[in-house]
Amino acid sequence: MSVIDIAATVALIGGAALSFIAGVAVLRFPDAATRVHAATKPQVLGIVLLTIGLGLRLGGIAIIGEFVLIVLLQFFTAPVAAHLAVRQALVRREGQPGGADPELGVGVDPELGGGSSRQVDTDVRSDGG
Amino acid sequence: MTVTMIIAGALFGAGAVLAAIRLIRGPSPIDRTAALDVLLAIVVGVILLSAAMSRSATAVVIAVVVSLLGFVSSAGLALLLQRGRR
Repeated sequence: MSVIDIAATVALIGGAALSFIAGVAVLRFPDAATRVHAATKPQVLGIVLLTIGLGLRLGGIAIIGEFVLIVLLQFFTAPVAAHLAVRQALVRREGQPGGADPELGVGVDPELGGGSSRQVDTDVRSDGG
Repeated sequence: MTVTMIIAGALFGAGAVLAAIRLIRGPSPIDRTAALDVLLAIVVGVILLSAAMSRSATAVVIAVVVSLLGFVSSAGLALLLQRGRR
């Protein structure tokens, strides 16, 4: 087993371990925003590690274009998707500590500030993982 | 390399089971979106792992497509929830 094989093994198991950690965090974290935060970890670092491991296993130059495509797509799309999801989570816990700021431009409609968002928020809090 | 595949596959499987539990239980749609993101990242990871084990690069294109599909699904769900509240 050469050095390249050992490095590929470390990278592949590291990526898989990040996916497992994200699964634990998504199940255990108490809040929707923290769960979205945990979900972006294997999307970026895990896929970068797995791509490095696959590149070390294949060992060619021709495949690097597709690897760069995968990594750049994850770098650009994962923060955008997480931002949209966390913004919705903030709107849903409006009026609570750490909730939506009216300066964000979201959740300022007085029809939305009443019971419905509070109901959703208590559902989120009472779950507890 | 067989040991590597077994360890990584077990980690992927356990993470997928935990994310699926959150996908079923999750009280708000945002939690389900997060669990779906984790599941799609695990799908991409399994595709890359199988390509690394078989030393063939044909499945890398599938990983590109699945990662794009994950962005479209989670961003679309977030925008759909935003529209539903207005």
